[in-house]
Amino acid sequence: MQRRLSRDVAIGALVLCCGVVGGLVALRPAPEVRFEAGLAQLEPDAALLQLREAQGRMTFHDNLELLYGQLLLADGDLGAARQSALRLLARSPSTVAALDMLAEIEVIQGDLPRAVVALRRAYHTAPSAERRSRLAGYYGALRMADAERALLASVPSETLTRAEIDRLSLLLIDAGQIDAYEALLSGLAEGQGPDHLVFKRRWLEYLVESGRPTDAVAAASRWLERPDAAAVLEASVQALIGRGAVDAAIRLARAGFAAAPEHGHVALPVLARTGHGGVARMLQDEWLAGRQTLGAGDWATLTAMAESTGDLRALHAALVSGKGPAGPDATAAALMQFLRYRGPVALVPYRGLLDGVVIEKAPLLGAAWSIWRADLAGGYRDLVAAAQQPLSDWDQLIWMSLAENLRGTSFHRQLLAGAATHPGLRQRLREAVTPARPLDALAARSAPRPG
Amino acid sequence: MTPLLRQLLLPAALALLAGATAPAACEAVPRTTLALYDGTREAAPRDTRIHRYAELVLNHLGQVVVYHDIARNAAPQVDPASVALVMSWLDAPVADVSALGAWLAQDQGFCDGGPRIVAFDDLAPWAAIDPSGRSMAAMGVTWDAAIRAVGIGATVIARDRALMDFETDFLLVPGDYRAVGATPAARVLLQLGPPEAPLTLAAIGAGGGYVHASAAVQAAPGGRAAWVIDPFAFFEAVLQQDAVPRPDPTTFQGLRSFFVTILPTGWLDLMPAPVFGKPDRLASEVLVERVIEAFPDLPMSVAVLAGDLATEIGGRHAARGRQAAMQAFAAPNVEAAAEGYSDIWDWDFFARYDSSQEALMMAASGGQGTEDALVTSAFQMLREAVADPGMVRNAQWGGAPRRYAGVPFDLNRELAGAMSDVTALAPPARPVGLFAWSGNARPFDTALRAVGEAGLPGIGGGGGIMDAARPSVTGLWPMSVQVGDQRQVYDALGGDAAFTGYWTEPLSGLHALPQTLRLTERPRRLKPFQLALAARSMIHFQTLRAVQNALRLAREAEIVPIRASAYVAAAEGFARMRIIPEGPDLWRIRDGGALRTLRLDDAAGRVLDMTRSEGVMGARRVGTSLFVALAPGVEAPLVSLSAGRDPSGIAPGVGAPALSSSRPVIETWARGDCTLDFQVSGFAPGPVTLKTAPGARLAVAVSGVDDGRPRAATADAGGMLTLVVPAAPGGLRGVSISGGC
Repeated sequence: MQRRLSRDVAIGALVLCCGVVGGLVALRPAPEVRFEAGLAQLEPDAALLQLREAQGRMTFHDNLELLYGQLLLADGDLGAARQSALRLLARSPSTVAALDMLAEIEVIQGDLPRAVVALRRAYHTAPSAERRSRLAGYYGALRMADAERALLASVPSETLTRAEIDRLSLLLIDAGQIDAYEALLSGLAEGQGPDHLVFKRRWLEYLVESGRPTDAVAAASRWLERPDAAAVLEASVQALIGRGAVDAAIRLARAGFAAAPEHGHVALPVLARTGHGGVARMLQDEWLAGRQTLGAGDWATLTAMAESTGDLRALHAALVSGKGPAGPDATAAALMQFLRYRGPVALVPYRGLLDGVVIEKAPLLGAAWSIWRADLAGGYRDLVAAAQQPLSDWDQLIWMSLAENLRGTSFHRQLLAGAATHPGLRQRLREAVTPARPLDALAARSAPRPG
Repeated sequence: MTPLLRQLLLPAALALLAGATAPAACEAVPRTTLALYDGTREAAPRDTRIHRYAELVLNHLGQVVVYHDIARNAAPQVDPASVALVMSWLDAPVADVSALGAWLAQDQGFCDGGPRIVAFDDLAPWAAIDPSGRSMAAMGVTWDAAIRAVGIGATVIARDRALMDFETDFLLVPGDYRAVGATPAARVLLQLGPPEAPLTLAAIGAGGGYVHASAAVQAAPGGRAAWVIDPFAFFEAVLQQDAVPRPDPTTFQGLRSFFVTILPTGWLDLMPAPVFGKPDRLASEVLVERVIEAFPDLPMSVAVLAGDLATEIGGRHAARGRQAAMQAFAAPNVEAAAEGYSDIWDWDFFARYDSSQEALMMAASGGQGTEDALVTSAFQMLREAVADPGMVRNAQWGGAPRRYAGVPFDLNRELAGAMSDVTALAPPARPVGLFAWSGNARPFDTALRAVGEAGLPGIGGGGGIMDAARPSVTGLWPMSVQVGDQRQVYDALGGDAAFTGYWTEPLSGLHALPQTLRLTERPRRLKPFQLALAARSMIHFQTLRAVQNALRLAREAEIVPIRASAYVAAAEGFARMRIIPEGPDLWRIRDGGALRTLRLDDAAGRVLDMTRSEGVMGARRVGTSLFVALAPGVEAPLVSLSAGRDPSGIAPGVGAPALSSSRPVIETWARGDCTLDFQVSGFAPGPVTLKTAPGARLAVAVSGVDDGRPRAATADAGGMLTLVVPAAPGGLRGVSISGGC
């Protein structure tokens, strides 16, 4: 009984051992896997050596073949690396890593047409912006404009970079594919991408050049319903005027007054700056009539318009209309236009606005008002204050003119002595008091006397 | 001398002197291009489009480009007699250009009827510079201030295919254009319609030319660019100097120059051990073993960063790095070079150094950095962070202006101090011989001056790549850049950092270097063969292999291995050389310094006339160009050409042989009626090819080989004779040849 038990145990143990051994044999990694694991322990050059020796003696699975190709490429053995990549692709035609590697090998070898073939397959298998950019660059280098254009046109325009959009635009124009160009540009203009204002301008210019100014006005008017109406209106009016479509610009400005009343004023300075002062003044009147209250932007526009056209009527109307109080800055800027164009006397109707805060913003106003009232001390004080602010050439001339009223007084001497710190004014003061030097000092001196 | 005689002779002598002065001012071929830029829109010469695109071409045509900021409204500080071309590439009018206008309007001073005028992009500044309209007429254009809107319907009505669509086709760019027309005598290169009101985009006039921006360089996505107009042909048509020799630092002794620059970037990088427990190695240690000592036949200029090698800031590997530096400098083929002390990355910052600003930038960039930020693993960070004093002093790359910011910036320590440190590590007979500019390689003029005053040549920046994927010369940088009153010599070609995107792109990219070498050799040799690498490349298998392959290529190629300092000296000679015509096909060469090559393009029907030439070793024909090799140590060589089509490019006359090419560097050269004696230096045996009479029998003796007993040698049927001279480090090898006459 005991012997039988022993025999059963022995048989069981044997079976177990066989099972374990069989399991171990069954679970033993394939030679290729062991080979690959061993390679990971080696320096790249040693690994490459082993792979070269193993080639032909062992079937490389895909990963091993890819590793071999990469090491050959790293070694600079471009011919062998290419063969390796081709072997891998023969087995697995859509292996993106192999296609990328093949493209890289071909580029390093200088064979760009073959690189294009590989990269195009990689791109079609796994499209990406990076592959598209590289492929487009290769097409450009090969002067394959048709292929480059088709590649860039094959993706939604929103996914293209700005540089790619510009390139595609030029390629479409060059190929005479105007419909495609129109579609690209109008889509971008209708969008709200980071450069949408640029594309809006281009689209309007294109419409005008194509004899479709009405379409341009319609498109731009539509855009005014969006949040950045001010910027859109300004850019659109600029585009239309730049292409000579003044009537369209007027219609658009009017549309702006209606659709975006709080932003409509931005069209006016554009017209004034581009030599359409008469139109700007006409539209200004229309715009002002439609405004119930005036905000800071409105005042800035009125002031800018007055400065660029010299027409102070709208500014005067606004100041007396009570359509909204102008802040001290806006009041000072507005009154400066009256001083510049009509002199101190023009300030009389607005003397009620010339309070301390406004004069602090524009001391030149205070100086003019004080001197007009023969308050020389006050005039001197404000001239000194004005000289501490930035002054345009125009304002420097006004300052000098006001300072002339102090001539002969101690205030004038103090200004000459350096109370006016503005460098431009100091120069003007020096020139005002220094007699002109003779051109040739030697010629002007006394004749030498004999002896 | 009586007072009367003095009264008679003195004015005569003064008149003679004055008369002598006028032609003397115009004696040399004008080689200066005055480049106008607007300093309010392009900050410095190196930021201008003229520098980025045109200067390389002008250098190739022998022109030295000197920049003038017209926004300063001052007269250019350049000798008018040296000015061949005044060029602008502006995109907007400039406020007041009266000083330049007055300078250009002077009747005296200029030579050959005044400089040529070229305008790229906006013509409006020229309306202000020269209200008389003469400059516009010279360019072959008429102009008015009106703006013309060009839409997509515009058509090209004239296109000179010989000069246009060079690297890329012209593409119409809709927009606002100045109304530019062509004069009746102009050669119209590109014009848009309609025919009744054409808009000229490119033209060449009798005294210059004009190119609209869209007809010059076309930008493409990815930062690529390409020339629309052929800039070589355009500038040559304007300058008309094809028959004049041009200084050429790409070539030495008839062959393309080759030099190696090794930068210390990554000098202390650890090469990770593949198996845990095995010793790791520094990149610099691998560099010494597998590059410097493995290629003893090729000279290399090895730069180190003094801060890397100082334990107090370089960290725990500094001592090993120092040992590697000493081992490298001890190799006979190595020229020791310095790259500064604290590894400056942003030179512009240190032009107006503010330590508090640097502290702020350090804080913004993370303050304490990693010792080897790009390569050290997180594991190594944890292991070494506490132990290494260098760790807390190093800045990270992002935003910091230099690496070792823990030490106060001191320009003297950065330059002279670093040079002194390197000399202390180098063998006494071979002190520091080169300064390499680190980081963005934009040194300011004070730094350049300091290096120059120390007597060291400096190199860095520039370079470039030109290969199948980027096949445009716009990818190449010019030879040098003007910085204030200094000139910085650039690297000739991009190196491992450029080819691998600073080791961020595929590292195999450096294997494409041979493509750049091919494209910068044909159809015109634009650059020497430079291998620029950094120690960091040693830790990557791909870049190490690419470096080794490039060095093997240099062993096989037809090149002259020289030290980097020799190339810099030649490039500096380019800026100074004067070429003085002394008759038809006869030029006296002065002030060339170390530059000893002249190139004549379109020389298929010309040969070097050895009979009339003086101080000239020989010549070699490459394509239609003829490279003339000047002899060493000759102050004012005389180059003479004559008609001929000998394939060698030389008419040797009846004298001793002339030089066709030599791989060893010829240090002395004495050519008599029937004898030729010269000495060479080098690191390995190399061929010296001579030109003599066909089948000539010569007696040749090489010192240390023939022991004073000449051996016979016979030239081939073409008169060519090649000797392999066993040059070796540390001495000169003499060669004596007699016969053949």
